[in-house]
Amino acid sequence: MDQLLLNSGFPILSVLIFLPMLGALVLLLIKDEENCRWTALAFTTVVALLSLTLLSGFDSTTARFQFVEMRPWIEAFNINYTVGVDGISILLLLLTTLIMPFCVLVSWTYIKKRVRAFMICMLIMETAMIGVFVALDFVLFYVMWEAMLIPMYLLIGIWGGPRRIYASVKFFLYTLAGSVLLLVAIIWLYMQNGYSFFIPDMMWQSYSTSAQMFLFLAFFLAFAIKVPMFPFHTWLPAAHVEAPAAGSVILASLLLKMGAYGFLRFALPITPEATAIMMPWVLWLSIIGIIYGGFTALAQSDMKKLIAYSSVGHMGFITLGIFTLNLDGIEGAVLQMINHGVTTGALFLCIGMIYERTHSRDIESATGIGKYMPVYITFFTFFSLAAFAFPGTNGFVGEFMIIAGTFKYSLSQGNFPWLALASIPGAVLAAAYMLRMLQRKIWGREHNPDNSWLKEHDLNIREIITLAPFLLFVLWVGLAPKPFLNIMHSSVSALVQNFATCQAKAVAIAGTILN
Amino acid sequence: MHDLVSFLPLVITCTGALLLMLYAVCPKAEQEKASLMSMGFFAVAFFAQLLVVCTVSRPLFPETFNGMLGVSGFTNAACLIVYACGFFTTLSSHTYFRENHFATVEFYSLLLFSAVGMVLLSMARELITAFIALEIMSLAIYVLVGFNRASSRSTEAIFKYLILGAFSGAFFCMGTAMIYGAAGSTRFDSIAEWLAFNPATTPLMLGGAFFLLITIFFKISAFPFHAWVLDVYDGSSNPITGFMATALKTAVFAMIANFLALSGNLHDSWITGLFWIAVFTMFGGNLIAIGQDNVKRMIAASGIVHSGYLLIALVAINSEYFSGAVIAYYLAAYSVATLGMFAALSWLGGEGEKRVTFDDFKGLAKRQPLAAATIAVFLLSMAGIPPTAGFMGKFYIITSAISAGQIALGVLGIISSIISMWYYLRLIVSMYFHDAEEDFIVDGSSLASISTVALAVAVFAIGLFPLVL
Repeated sequence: MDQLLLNSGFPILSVLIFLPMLGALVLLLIKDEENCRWTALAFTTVVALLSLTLLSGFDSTTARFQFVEMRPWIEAFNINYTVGVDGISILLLLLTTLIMPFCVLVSWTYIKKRVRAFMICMLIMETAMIGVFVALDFVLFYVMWEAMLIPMYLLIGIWGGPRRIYASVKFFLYTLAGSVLLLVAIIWLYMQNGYSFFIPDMMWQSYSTSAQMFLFLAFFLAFAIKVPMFPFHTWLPAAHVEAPAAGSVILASLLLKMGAYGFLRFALPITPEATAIMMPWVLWLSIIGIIYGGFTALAQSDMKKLIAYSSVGHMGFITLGIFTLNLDGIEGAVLQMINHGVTTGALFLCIGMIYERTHSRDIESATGIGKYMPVYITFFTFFSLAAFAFPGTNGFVGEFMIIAGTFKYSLSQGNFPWLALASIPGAVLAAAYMLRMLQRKIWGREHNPDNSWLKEHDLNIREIITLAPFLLFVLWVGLAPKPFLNIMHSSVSALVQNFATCQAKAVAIAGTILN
Repeated sequence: MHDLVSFLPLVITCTGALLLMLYAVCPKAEQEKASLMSMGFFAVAFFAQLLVVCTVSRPLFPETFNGMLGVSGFTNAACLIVYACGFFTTLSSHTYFRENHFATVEFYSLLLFSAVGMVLLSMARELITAFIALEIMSLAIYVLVGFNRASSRSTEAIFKYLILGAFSGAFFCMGTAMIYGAAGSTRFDSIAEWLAFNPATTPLMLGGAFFLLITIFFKISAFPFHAWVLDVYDGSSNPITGFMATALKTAVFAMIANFLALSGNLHDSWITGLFWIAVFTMFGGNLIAIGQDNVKRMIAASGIVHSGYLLIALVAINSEYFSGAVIAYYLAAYSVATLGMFAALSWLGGEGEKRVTFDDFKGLAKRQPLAAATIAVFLLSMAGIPPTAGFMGKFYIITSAISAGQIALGVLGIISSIISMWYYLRLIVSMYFHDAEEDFIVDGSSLASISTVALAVAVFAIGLFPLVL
């Protein structure tokens, strides 16, 4: 149990998990739509504020799990309700809790039908997502992991666009299918670890290489679909395009992080040997994802689709960083997870705002609006710059660290840094497709559609309040990323350290066998 | 005395059945009153059983009635499920027969009789007793299936079921005779003793077990004896379909688990066969279910799939996790969801079961949000999505399969459950993602609507706090 640091006292993580659930129950009693919106906003805001108090109690000098709670749940199978956070999950937890109020805000007028049901879905979604990031018991994790699908499915299917049924069913079945082997892997690990589902106990054990390969395959399938890595990405554009604005934000900012988080939390620590074997393949898959996402994004005329494909590229960078398995790469990847959550979330919010006005997501229909909506376009420009990693924005810091990590990886292997070089075109492509969209939206062409009526419809106060914190974050991380890196540093370096030790041990064992 | 105490629930049910039969000849007998009475009998029997479970902790009398019947934790659980199924079926019948007018008092009496047969069957520790219990149960069910004499579909269903059921009954007798010839006894424990010293692969033993299993597979609708299910389920009235899908399956699974668990020897010689039957049952059922447009037939086909999952548990029966608890838990989880589904259908189906296809339920969520939400909960539980009871049930089954070394079977089970998601989602899609075409004017205060809500709560309650284990 030395991985645990038991913070006695207030069970804050449980409160964070179940408060949104309570909010959903409260909503059941409220009939009025306006009150539903306010209640949902109140609950998500309280959760966000409460989660911020975690930071004051968080000890960033240790890699151990903190704020841990452990209660027996199903004793016959030794399943416990165990939750806790470390430097990696606390950031993702905060990302989740802080983004949710904005998702409620952006849906304020966007969602007109069945407001109560919508808000209930959002709150249940929040419970499940927080649960995934803090679960330290594998069954609890799996329950939350799968439970996430239902509200998301309903969000896309009920409030989505014209092809919502296709998109929602594809999303549901695709991601569900990914978890097939995950459950088997969980049960196998349970048998191997003296009938315990406690996740930290499963890490850094010396399972046989073949078992590790099987486990890695199971993890990879589940997490690569969730990320999504090329070639498992096809559900993403469909789901993104059809989802309502808040749904897209949740998908892009939070749901996609689950896969990357899964790699960090499970694949690396539980199957280090298999990870080392599969590393080159995954790295090149990430590169393919980056390039592929970039080119496909370049070809889109639908803004939501464009951002969706750009997400495939960005997530490629994140998996690239994770699988370089050095400090720079992984820290960059975690930071980039947060960055991508913020910038892509903000971009989807922006597109949702323009869609609310013009009822079209086509770039062509929104050309030349820079003249009429200066406030909007200022925000949009900043987020676009962040999306293609312009220096001074958050995207630059993350992407820079990842590429630096990739260089280091190649050099440590004694290879020419092909990987890092191959990822550069991705960065250029990102600039190309974002600038293309930006140019059209601000100035357009010689003959633009008449959008002058938008003059009176620039962003209102609610929308500015929604976007301003995102902008603040973009610049904060861009100019001073240190506080964020500090939080995760101990956990990531412990991860890298343990991984190296495991590798050395495996090499030593292989050496003795050969001798 | 103790012996009799644990038969108290059975005595109550039996008395209830007889009393209702007598009540039926009264000139003023009304079926509404009869339904309330049978509800009462089921409820009392359920609580009596609960009392037995809670108060009597030591294993009871292996030797009751000269070893013909036996009670264990597993049978107790099965009996509880049967009584609960009976209770909720009566509730849905009460609502159902407000719109459909072919019920008589005997309907409820027969329901109680079939429950008597099921309880006896799950307690049976001897093949002749098992046969008699099976027939008590089946005869009552035959009549219940064909109760709507004006409907040709119902008549077709009863005809098919009766003929095939008669065959399977004959197979059971045949198997019993052969096993008696081999082992010299029809008592489970004597057969086990014989098996401990003799191989299970002698022709007589093998053949006897083969015939027995045919009957069992027929009753639980396992591949390749599943073909009757769709027509029979479709032809019966909604509450009876629900009752057959749950209580009957529970009783038969209890019996076969008792039989197979008695000797590792017997179990081992059938394990390969069971493996393939489980696989074909799951995937065959899925294939059939995907093609259905009718909700009832879809649920019938998905019932085949669920039998497949239960067969996985049977394959793993001698693993270190005794899968008796696993089977009982899964049966409970499955029964709650299926009963809920049929309670909802009884309530929403309308006169002459006019709402039966997926399209008929379009837009239900807008007009009847509560009904749609409960149906969605039942479907998700059947599909095994956390945090419902169905997920926990599947989780235990997969765990027991893997701990028995049947990893392939575990993986196939999960794959099958993902395929099954496809047709469960279809109903959710039509309920939630389409606009309503009609108003769904139904009686919101009926007993069936209350029971759907109660069962939906039970789905989560059982899922999050699995006390059965």
